[in-house]
Amino acid sequence: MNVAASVSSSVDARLPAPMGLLLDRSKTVQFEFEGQTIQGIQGDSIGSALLANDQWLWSRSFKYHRARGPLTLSGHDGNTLVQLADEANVLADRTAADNGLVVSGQNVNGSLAKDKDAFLNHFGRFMPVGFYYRAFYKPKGIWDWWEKHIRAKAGLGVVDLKGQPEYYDKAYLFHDIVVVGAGPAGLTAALTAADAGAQVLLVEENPILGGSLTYADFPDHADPESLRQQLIGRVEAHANIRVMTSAICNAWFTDNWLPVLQGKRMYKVRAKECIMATGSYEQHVVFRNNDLPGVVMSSAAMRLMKHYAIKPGQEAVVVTGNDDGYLTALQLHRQGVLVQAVVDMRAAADSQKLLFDVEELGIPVLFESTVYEAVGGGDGDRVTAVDVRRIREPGKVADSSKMIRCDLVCMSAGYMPAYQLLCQAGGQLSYDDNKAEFSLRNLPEILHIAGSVNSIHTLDAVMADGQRAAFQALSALGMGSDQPLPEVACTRRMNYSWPIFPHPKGKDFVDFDEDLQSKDIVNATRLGYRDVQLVKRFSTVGMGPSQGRHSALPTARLVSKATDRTVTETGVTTARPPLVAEKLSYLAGRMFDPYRETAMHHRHKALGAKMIPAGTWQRPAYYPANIGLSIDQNSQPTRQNRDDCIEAEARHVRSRVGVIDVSTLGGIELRGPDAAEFMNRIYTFGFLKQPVGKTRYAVLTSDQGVVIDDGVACRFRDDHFYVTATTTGVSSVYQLMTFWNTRWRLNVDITNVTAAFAAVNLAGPDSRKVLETLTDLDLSAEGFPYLACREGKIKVPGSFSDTTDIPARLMRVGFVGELGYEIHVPSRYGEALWDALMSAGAAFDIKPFGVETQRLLRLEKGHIIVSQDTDGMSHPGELGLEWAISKNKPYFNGKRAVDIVMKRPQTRKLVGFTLPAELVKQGKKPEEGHIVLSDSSATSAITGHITSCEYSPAVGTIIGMAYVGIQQSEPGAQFPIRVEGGQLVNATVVELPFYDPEQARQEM
Amino acid sequence: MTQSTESLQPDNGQFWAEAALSRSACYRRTAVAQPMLAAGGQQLPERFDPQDVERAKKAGVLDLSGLLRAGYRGAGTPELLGNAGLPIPARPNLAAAGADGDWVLRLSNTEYWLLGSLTNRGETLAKLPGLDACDSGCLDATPDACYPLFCMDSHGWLMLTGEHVSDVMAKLCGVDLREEAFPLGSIAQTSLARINGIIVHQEINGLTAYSILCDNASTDYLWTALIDAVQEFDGGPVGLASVVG
Amino acid sequence: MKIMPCPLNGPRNISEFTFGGEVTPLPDVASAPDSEWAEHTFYSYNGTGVAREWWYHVPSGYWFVAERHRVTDEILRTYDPSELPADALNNQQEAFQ
Repeated sequence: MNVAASVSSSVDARLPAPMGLLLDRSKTVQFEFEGQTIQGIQGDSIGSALLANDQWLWSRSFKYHRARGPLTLSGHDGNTLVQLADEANVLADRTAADNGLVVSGQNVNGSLAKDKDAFLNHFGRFMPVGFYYRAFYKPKGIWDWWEKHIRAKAGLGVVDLKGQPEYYDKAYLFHDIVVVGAGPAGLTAALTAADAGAQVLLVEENPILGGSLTYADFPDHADPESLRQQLIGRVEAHANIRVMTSAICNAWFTDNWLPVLQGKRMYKVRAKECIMATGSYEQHVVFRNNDLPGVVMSSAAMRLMKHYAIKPGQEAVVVTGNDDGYLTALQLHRQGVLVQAVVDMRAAADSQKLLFDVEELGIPVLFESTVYEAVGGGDGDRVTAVDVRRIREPGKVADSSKMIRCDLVCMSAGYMPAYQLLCQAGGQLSYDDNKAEFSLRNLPEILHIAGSVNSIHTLDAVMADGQRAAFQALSALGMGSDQPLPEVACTRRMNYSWPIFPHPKGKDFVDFDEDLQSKDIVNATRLGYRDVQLVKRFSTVGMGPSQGRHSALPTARLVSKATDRTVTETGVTTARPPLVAEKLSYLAGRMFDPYRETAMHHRHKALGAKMIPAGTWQRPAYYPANIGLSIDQNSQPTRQNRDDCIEAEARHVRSRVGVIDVSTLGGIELRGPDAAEFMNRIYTFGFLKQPVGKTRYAVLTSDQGVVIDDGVACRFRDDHFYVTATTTGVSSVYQLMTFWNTRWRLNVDITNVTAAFAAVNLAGPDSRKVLETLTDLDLSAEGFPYLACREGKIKVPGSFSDTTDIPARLMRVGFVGELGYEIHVPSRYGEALWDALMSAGAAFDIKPFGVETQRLLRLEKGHIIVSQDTDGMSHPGELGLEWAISKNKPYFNGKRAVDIVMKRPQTRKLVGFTLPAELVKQGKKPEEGHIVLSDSSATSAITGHITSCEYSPAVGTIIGMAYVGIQQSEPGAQFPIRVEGGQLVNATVVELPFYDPEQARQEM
Repeated sequence: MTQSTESLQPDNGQFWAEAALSRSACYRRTAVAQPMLAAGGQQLPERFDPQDVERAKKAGVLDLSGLLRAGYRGAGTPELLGNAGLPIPARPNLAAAGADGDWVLRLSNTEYWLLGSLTNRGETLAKLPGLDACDSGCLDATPDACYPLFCMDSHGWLMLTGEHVSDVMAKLCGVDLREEAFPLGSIAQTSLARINGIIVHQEINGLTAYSILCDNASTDYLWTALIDAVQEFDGGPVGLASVVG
Repeated sequence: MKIMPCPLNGPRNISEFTFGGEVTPLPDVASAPDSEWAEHTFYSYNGTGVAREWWYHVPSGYWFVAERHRVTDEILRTYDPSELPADALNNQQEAFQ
């Protein structure tokens, strides 16, 4: 193509103003389409610029690779999907033409114009409805082979895998009234509501306000543009109205929760009241080759002229079922198009004036007639003529044919309400088969409709309907007047009842996206799919990019006729969010990803700890530096590194002294006269007689009798308990406690103090010596014995502050099985405590240790970790916790269920086991989750699984805990474990604990 | 868009907050600011740079975790507040300012939180009984049925200032926090940026300020979320001096 | 997203709340047969009508009661648990004596 010639023709050949509402004629834009340079005007969409350059072939259809061009020119059909360099499936008629865009067709083999797969068009009779389902399901596996070939043929766009991330985010908006759609109904509704003082958000999907006023002509209004100017002038100046253009309300969720997409932001809008003035979709006529480029909706031709000042063709035929076809014919004529005929499917026009106006121009009007077939040139060419026939009866035409030459066919079969958002709100769409009119019922009280979505079409009535809806919404907000609501009725009939004319040779498309012809729908019902939902799933009708905007109604009509029901009885398929394709970036943009850090977090990082997640916390797993390794945070230590680290840290705790950050441990403070009574009702043990200064193990069971949490209860005063809970369980423990005290109303104050305390466990034979340098407390075995708890001060030298004493709670616990102290301090002092311990411990070669090491140490002591060694069925008997259940309490949480489950014959038990150390090197060490079998035979049953397993340097063997069958649970019993690769190893049950059974070390 | 947190690291690798034993959970984020001392021995960021005042007017983010705060729950709390000459808000989820610029937050029928004055840096609150909630002896210092809470340690305290406060919050929080729906003295206990928080609408020297109290362990996270959200409005971190002069 | 009117905090997105089950009286801890206890633990009423339910506002840690229509999902009333009628709970206070 000669670029210079194209420039002048595409820019200069535009229609004069006032056509071209969207154009800024002072600026041009230039981009590339299929290797050609396309010149457009600022304000053009990619699509309009293509049409201005006489490029009517935009895409190829999904199944038959038929040539397709514009249909609605409003972003509502799937014919317009094109590929940009960095984005696939872009709507050419909605995306602005920008300088430098590189645009190409999609779903083509070769080029758009010379698609090598266009031959598929001739194989349509071999690809009937349900073709893929029916052809490729036998023999088994054949689909796997076919799938890649079919996908290659039926591809959509290409994803740019090198794309750079862009910043998308979300925001919340709150308005009294949200009006969706800024046509005459929406504008009037917004103004009415705002005048009454409501804060209004007006959401419009197009770049300009006005809706149908921007492109349509009206029999009752000569100058829609001046009406539009008047309305938007007031809207834009109104202090109570926020306007969002190029914004899509993409769903309706409960209580008017509306996602509105605009630019790179998703707004989550909460509306007290919502008015949907979403308009209606013009419907096509079903005839043979109704998909040829040049066959468009009447409203598309109107948009082309009024929005973009493009003359849609030289010779036009209008096929219509309402008076809007006449208005289109008149506008086409005004803009210099030769209108060859108005083909009216009805017996007469509603408006004698419009008929007179058209006929006066010498345009022939053919009543009770339809276009039966459109005729094109070659593949990819525009329509060249239509075959017009008399309608004998609904859907059937006479034999005699009249060929009319044309390069443009405008279709007006009627309008379907843009019902999708309303159906999401529970609205029901009904259709009156006699009057061919829709109605929407059963809407929530906070949702109103106005305008053509409410089947109101006369312009004055549309605006009155907008006002009525606003009054309704205002009245619900208590801002309305006492006047009765105006009655709004529409006198115009817009829908022709049967605009479907099946052709024996087919290609009479119901659904353009999915290449479905009228016989495909009828055949689906004959194959037994009589429900419209099943027809959809079998035929894929309505599943394409246009989501049934044009196919739903003809499908409902065809199914209703084939199954002898009404359209209302047949119904339409369910409309679900999102309304239009939603970019993943809207959903992925600016995700909030909370994390929690202990007060000592940065000290661990400085020490090079390998961190692992624990809920939303990050905790040190182990410290590679403890074996002289320096591991970058981004690189992974090897399994051997890990094992070596854990072994070294464990040996150090057992021989010298180590310190671990246990700040993530849950903490709950219980204070008040009824604190002990409350503890006694919640946990399984008895707490009424727990001495002050002592700790007690606290087990929590659920209503089902399952162990759900454990911790250590410290009693600091008669009326004060401090109880720990598991890191991930504390929120639900606190919730459970407050729930029960809401019922019991005991005189106790319950506070979740998890984040308020930083804590460490200082453990090892030298721990007392380290702590002695930091406190005045009596740390002797008699003064502060095992399982005691104390309040005291940790003395820390401050640089300038007077505060040198950190208040602390200390407890002697045996979790890791050595002499040790848990030290809990207010979290603001956590880092100073860590520093003080590391510095006081230096003389004793103190080393930090991580969670993985702690897991090994406690495993050596046979202590369970709730949720690692327990599951949703673990009752206290299975865990060997009978000793922690008080027998002489009337109640504790879960008591009855515990009694019931523990009365039953026990089927499994958590036991300790050992395996020879050599298995580690042979790669046969069991892992958590590996299964335990009843025996080694081929018919063995699964009796349990491994919950914890490590090599223990202190014991010298592999040790672990596992659920085993009750008959396998006695010490000395052997049981097989299926390890990695399916091999069996035989483990031996042993008494717990594995290490220091006399408990001498922790009680030092 | 996130402002590089590395740029806030001090040149010499030293953090002034570490001079005190008591530290904010996100003190590293304010390391380049000039510090000042608050009651209780903690330090606060006083000033980042000469643009602090401008940023504070648009959308400032201030870490007040070092400033004294306290909380009490129980039927005996009004007695304690009365003794201290502090106001008692009429109903839950209302806040009131005391004479010295301290704020009393009523969170439920019987739960009250106190935020230290920015102007006297918490001096008034420092005189309240039972401030050391960690010590069970605190129960003897307060009236019957008045339990000291752990606000100083359980919660971090960030403040958002300036004309864009509600625009920033609209990016983080699903509750309507525009001034008309959330007037001065309102409290919202809600979820923001996917964590729980208490948001209070205050005014400091004529400047709109929303205090945000969040889980102490999530303070660093919330700081990064706020700094990211204020970029759009030319906001950023500010020191206490930008608010109290 | 549904709105829940919290008696303490006002109308809020329902994502701020967790559901705590129906308000049901406890069977007698000491004397109820196992079957009655199992029924209480594992079964919920699955009919129409108005349900009286426990709800928990997570950010403020507040339990309250909501009355909700099981068919329309409309929340008819929410209130502080102190307003519950005495017979709604059967907390077995005597069992603890």
